Amino acid sequence: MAELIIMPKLGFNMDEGKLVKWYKAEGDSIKKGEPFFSVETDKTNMDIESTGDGVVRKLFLEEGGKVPVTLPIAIVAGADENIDAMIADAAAQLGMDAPAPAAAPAPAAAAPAAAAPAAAPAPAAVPKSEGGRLFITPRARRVAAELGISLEEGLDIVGTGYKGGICEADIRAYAESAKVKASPLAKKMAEDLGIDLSTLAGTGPFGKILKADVEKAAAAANAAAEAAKAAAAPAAPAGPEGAGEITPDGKEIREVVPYAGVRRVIGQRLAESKFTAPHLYFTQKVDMSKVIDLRKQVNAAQDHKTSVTDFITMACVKTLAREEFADLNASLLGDKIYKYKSVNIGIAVAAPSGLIVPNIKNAQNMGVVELSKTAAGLFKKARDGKLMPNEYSGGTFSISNLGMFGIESFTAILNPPEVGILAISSTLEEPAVVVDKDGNKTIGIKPLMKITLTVDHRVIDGLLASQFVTEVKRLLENPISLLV
Amino acid sequence: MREIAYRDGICEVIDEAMANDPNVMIMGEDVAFIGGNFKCTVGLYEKYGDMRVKDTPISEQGFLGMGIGMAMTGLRPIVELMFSDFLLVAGDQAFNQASKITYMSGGQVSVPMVIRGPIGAGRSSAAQHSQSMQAIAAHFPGMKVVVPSNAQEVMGLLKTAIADNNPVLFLEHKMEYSKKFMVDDVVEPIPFGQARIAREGKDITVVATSALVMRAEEAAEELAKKHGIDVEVIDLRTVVPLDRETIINSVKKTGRLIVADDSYEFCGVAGEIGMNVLDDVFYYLDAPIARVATPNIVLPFSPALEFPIIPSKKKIFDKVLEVMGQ
Repeated sequence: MAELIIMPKLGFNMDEGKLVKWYKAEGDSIKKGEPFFSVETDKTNMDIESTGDGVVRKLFLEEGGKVPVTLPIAIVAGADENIDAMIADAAAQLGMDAPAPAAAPAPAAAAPAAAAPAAAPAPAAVPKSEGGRLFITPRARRVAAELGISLEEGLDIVGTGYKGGICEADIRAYAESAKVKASPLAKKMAEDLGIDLSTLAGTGPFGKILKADVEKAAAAANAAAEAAKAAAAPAAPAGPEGAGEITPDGKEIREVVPYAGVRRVIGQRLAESKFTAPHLYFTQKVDMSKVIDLRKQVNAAQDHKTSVTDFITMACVKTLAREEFADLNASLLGDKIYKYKSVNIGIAVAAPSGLIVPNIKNAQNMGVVELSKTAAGLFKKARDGKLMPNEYSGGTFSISNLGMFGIESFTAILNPPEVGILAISSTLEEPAVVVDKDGNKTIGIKPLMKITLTVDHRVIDGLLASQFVTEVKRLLENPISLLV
Repeated sequence: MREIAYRDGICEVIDEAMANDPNVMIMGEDVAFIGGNFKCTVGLYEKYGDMRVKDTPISEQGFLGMGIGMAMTGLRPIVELMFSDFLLVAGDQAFNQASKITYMSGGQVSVPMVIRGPIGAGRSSAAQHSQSMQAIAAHFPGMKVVVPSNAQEVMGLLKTAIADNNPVLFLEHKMEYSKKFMVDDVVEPIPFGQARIAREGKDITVVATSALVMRAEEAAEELAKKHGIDVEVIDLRTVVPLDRETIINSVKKTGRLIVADDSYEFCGVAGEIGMNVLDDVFYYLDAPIARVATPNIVLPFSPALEFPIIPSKKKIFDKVLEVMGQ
């Protein structure tokens, strides 16, 4: 039984996937459970295994290529099974021309962008017909007439109705695609490449713009840019892209890199967060002397080395687990606020590919050593780029710690759909007012650390946020309560 | 709302009608002393006595004819057939006499009689006790044919049937008798010829009769969950009179029609309804009209053979997928 393999949706926010590697080529046989391909999600690479036995008959995507999730990327079928219909269907979904069955080789995209295409390309699929008669329902025929779609010319519509006939939905989808006169893939590509579709002449049926048209336009634009560059800077030195070039207003460029991949995802999510959720900030100074002492004792008492971060995390977890702070251990999803008993505390990590926030699940049930060990495991995976999607999704609150970098104070942007994040700055020795047991005030030196809570003001008001920061400060200044 | 078993709902409506009108009486095989083969008349004999709750001999032609005579002379008899199959024994009385006397007498007499009987297969009652008579009854002019679904419908439609001044064939489903349903505290009479939209949907219309309304609703929920198909379920309520308008409007909206009915597929209710609305919906159809009905074979007694043959939730589910092209 032929199986259509689709780009899997590997995370809640995953809209498209990049195919990093095919482990099988067309013609290879594959068994259930064997690695089939590797996908770059918004945060990590994942190997996908085959779900069945068969022969890899068709791959629709080249390595490095991207498609929206759930669109077809391959067909696994029996060695001799007829998969023409499935290929046609997949091609239609991808907005590609279906390869002509075996006969003529696909026309290379090398042809110059001629004004008038010599011949209309083969339709994506021929609707089921018998003796030249279309298999189309009366309803579809009526709707086609209402929409002014002529059924006389061959329509490139794949029937999805009863026994593969053309039904109303097929006609409406066709009308929709014909209106914008571009295949979905071409539209997506044009958007990514910043090409205005209205400037292109489509070579598809009824002048529909296809992937190839966008590729041609992109190539032409690149060629023009190259030519301009060659004219402007004939002796551009080898090195990073753009290196040594001068911008029109006189700036020398060190390097130009694409805003893409993980960087782009981080950027989009942070922008979405900052522009959607009204951020509100609360800062407190915490005297860390007792935590520092306690950590030394804990590390002396057992083998695992805990960090100061672990104690700060612990203080947050202890506070978030309390019912009166449930509003902060929450997600805003649609028109509902989910308040959690589980404290899945996320900790921001600088991974090689960029910022990532793995979270410790059900931290409310852990002691500080267990929490520290769990965190250490996640940090290692994050630095090695091996986090699984479930390890960086499902958090309920986050911590961002820049204490090790000498930062005196900073604020963090919320990690949606969470409603709170705590920014931890460095512990610095500072002059502070010290009150002795007789109530006399003097100036002493204390290790002080600033913590800044960011909340989503749509959900959290200032009172609760202030109480939270104060409670975390209280716990850190009386840290023995973290161990009980 | 309150909960009531389908059979107790029937008993309650008959009881109420007998209490309100001394001309209402019930007769049939075992309706009095043992309260009916399917226990639909329990307690009525004790309450109203031998003259109004009458056990009859095993002689359908005789007692159905007797009912016609009673009705013509002023009573409002309810005649129970132990199985609707036995309507065939009394075929002449039902279709040639009861259905036609008003016409043949030039409107001088009417026959305010209700014939009740169970339809449907599924309890190993074998070939002669598992049939559904709505198709053959609807074939002859002059008899109203009611195919209620749940207890609320049974009660509301039976009230209308008893109040009707012309002969009504009231077909209950034998697999539903002991099932419990929620009904209104006071069930209002339901007018004939007005189908009920049991579930609104936009992708496909399933017109169902009797117990298949519930099976269609169950299939619709599963289709919505598993396949995202939004099924509109119409409870036909009465085959005669037929509410064409509700069906036509629904099919114009969805473009697809399946008719589910327990009678035999060949010359059956499902085929008739499809053909009946076809000329009005032809240019709105997005798939052929399809049927879920009992195939034209003598029903076996063996449950292993019976269940795969008769209409079911699964048969409706599968047919919807087929018509949707999935």
